[in-house]
Amino acid sequence: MNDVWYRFSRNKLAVFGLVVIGLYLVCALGARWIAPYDPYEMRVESVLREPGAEHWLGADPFGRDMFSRIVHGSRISLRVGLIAVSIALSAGTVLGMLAGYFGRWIDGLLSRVVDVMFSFPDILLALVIMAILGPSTTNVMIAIGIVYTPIFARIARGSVLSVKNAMFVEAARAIGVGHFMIMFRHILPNILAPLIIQTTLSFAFAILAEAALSFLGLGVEPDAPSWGIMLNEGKNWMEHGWWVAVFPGVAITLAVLSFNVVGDGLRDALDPKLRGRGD
Amino acid sequence: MLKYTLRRLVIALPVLLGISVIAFFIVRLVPGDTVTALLGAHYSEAEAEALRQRLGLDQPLPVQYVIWLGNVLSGDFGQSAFTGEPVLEAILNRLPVTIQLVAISICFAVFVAVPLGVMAAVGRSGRTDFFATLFGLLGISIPGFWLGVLLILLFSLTLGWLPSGGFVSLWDDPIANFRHMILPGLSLGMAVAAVVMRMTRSTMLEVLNEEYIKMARAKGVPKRRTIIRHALRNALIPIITITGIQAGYLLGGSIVIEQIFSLPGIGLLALQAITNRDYALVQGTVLFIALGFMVINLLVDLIYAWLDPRIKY
Amino acid sequence: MGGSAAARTDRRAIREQGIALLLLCLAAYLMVSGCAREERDVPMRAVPDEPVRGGVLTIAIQSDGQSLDPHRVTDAASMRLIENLYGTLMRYSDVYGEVEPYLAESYEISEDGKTYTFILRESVRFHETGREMTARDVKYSIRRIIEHEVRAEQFEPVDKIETPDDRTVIFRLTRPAAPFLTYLAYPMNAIVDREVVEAHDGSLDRAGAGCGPFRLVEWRRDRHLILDRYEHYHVQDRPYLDRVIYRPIPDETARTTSLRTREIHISLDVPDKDRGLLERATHVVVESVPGTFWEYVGMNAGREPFDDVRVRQAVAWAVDRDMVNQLVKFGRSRILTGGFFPTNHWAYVDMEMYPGRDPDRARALLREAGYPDGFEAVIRVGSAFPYQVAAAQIVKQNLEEVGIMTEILAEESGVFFEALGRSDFDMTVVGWLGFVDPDEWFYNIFHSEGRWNQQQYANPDVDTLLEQGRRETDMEERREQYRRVQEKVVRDAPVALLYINDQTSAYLDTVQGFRVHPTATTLSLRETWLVE
Repeated sequence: MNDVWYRFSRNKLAVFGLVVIGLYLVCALGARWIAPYDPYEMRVESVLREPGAEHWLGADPFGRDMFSRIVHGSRISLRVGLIAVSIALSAGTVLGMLAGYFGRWIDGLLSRVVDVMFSFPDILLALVIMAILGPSTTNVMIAIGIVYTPIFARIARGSVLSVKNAMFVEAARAIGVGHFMIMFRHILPNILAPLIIQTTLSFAFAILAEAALSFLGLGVEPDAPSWGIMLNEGKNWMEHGWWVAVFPGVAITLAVLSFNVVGDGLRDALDPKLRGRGD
Repeated sequence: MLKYTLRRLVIALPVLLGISVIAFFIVRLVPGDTVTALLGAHYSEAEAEALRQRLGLDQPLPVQYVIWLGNVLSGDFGQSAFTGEPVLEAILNRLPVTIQLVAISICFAVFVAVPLGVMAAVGRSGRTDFFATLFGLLGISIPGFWLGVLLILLFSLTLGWLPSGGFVSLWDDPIANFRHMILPGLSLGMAVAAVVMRMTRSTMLEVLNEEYIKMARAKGVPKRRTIIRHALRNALIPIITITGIQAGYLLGGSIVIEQIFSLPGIGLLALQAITNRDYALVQGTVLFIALGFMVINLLVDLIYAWLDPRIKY
Repeated sequence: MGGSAAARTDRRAIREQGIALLLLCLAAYLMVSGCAREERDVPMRAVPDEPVRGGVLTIAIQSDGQSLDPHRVTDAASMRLIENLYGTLMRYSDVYGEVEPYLAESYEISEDGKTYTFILRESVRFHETGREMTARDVKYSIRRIIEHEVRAEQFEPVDKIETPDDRTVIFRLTRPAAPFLTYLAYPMNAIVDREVVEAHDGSLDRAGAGCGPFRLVEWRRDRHLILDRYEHYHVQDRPYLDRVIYRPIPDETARTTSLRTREIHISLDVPDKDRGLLERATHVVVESVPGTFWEYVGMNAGREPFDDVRVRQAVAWAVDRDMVNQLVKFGRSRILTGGFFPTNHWAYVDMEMYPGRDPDRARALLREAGYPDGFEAVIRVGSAFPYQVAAAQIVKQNLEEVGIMTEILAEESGVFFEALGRSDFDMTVVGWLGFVDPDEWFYNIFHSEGRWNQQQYANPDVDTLLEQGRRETDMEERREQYRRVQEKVVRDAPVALLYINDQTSAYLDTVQGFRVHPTATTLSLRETWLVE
């Protein structure tokens, strides 16, 4: 473990990413104290105010403080990311492990289902699911969770296959340990590394996906300070104030970038063999 | 090779069927229905019932599915309930736009990414490499739709060089067409460029470390020639593969980009169909996009198998 | 009717003028827009050039139409595409609210107001068949409208249509119908070519069967609709333009930029926020007239707590119309504190029933109604209409201050309109395109039996007045009846009125003779020409 941390900490970019994620986390948890204004409060006199002392990042077309909205936006992004990825991670891992461990028709069926889901571009699948569920923050999380489940299932399945016949599994089986115990006690800890890497990278995807769905108007509630919604508004108003279109995008990019570099760093640290393969 | 191709096709069949099932049933789960979307806010129950019958929506679901699948197989994707336009015609009408968009994105990606990746690998840890790494990271982190917004802000609104949206057909006016396609192509292609660049860089690094390259260099073959003739050639397989895979993802990305730039392509059509609850059109576009995605992936696999002699069928 | 679901939304709006007449409005417009445009003589264009023939004009609309069948469509976008292909018996004159004969040469109304006799114009020819229009085509068309149901209700009093000869049509009505001529001028109540309809199995979705100034060349959905000048148009030397191309550009910014970069000639709906930008462009003319698109906060009177008139009034007092107007419409719409109509409409009344926001009064009314601590409700809006979603956000804030906690639910048109149609909502922010006759404005929305009475509002007095308004032919009487309708409806507040929008279009200064109409019709294209 120390090894891993050591290798990780030598990657300056990854550490930078970790720090930025930490900052977002602070913003998300302490939004109420950090944000100088109520993110919902509209003030006619502040409409499209330029960035300055009063509004650090300017005000939007409703006179709402952009900085406060972006700070509160980190709550939405991180929460959506956390829950969506948790859904995908748990559902995907369980399905993938079942398929990999039991093989045969379970594997056949699950693999085909995963293949089918992989045949839809993720954003299209998410859009269709959102259309079914209707727009709300909860549904965004579910939709993104479903969309990214197959990736985890595939990774878990592959990893299980690679350790399934290892000595320690055979040994456990020989002394009569049940399937369930074998899977969770013996196999799961040994396939964690790829899952952890994928989890980190999926955070980046989930934040992007939430922003994209909200941008298309099929995401969270319309007055919520979601970065995607702010960007959508910003797009219509950018000629009147560049800041409404620029800052939410910076927030998204920085968050996605951070999770990406941390994911890369983790991959390098957890699996030195893969070093340098940047894809 | 033939055997491998056939096997891949056989595996693809149940997936295809699965796609059709999803495409069909998914829209039936949607709350609100075509009939009400069609009639607007105000209609009588009798009107709704008549329309439902006309559209065949009063049949049980499995029956509707079988009828629908039969029609699809014979080339009849039904009609848009909203506009009365045949679905296939609607799709084919918009297909060229999306194909052009994807093609431009890929060209841009390849022309930028491959040289940059090669230079980065050759000058490892130098300034070019740093710039390339940054480009790679930003490319995969900047949302395409934000990039689109920024490009519009800069090139259309501030500088006034390019239109901020809309489409002109290539055959009507090639120059205008190109002017309309540059910004969407850039926005969509950036992420691909980043991924392809990262791939180029890492495979080039590997190849450059191979013995035969070192040998060639030792024998006095000029550096530039070594790189292009020997190294790049060997690195090409993974680069082509990853480009192909990305082409599939572009189909998804085009939904958002076409929306921003008001490009009448498949992505926008799918989005409108979803928004309008236009069953037949949702089914058609979803099926079509998934199919395109699958075909591209299949082709990539086949090309890969064909190019790489190490792969056994 | 003025608006089915889609029609009523396809509208952006403009700014408050507070002036009654079109001319005054334009004069004010010059004043308001200030010195930046002094050197330009538009939009008054005191000495217009001689009209010239030829030229291709491109016009941008917000969304593509659904169909080209005038008798079937209900959305404003389709109407824009269709109206120049067809002709109607009557047409809107230059004075808003008045009509004049068009395909009819003259008409006569009997003493009892129940018989309308039209003499048709000669040598009106259909595009496709080249056939001359006859009385039978008129009869066939009106029948077809009734069959297609969308606007059947406008012809509900029609008992018989007689065609004694090729050029005479007689409508026999069961009762006098005040708005009858206005309905005949409605551009979608078009006279169609029976032979073309039959050749297309009864569907005009993709075909042109008209006799209007332009004929259909090509319609490629989401790309363009191309119309060419019709050589045998019955008005001599019209139209001037060789070709008109409609291009749907849904994105507001894209529409505005393409006008600035001269890629299009006319942008039909200019969003308020982009008006300033266009006014600064020296080669663009921005013109606006009081329009008929009114927006409101709807409340479901069939559902608790909105079944209590005091609760509805509380909402009407709590809403800050000025703030909504400022934030959503740049202060360019005219807030409605009493009546409904644009100032240039004959039924306009100057009423101040909710002159300004009064949260105390709202709270008092809520207390009286038994909701001292307020209540919770959902505001449903259509996500396709960003300005209504925006307005809902402000209304939400206003209501919060008097204790009504709301949640906004933005849904796609299908779901949203279905819910409205079923009266499955607490509150909504939505709008209607009023169009021309007060009967069009009110009957279906506020009559207890009205087809689109989503608010489930029922007041027997209003019902009686609306029924009388349909039959009454005396102008003064009607004005009084509709004044009372407005008074009662606004007091009962099934809707808390927000504002009524101007109709604003913008065009290049090379475009001459184009007129912006309150109903946003593009019929003036037949009088439009291009200068170099």
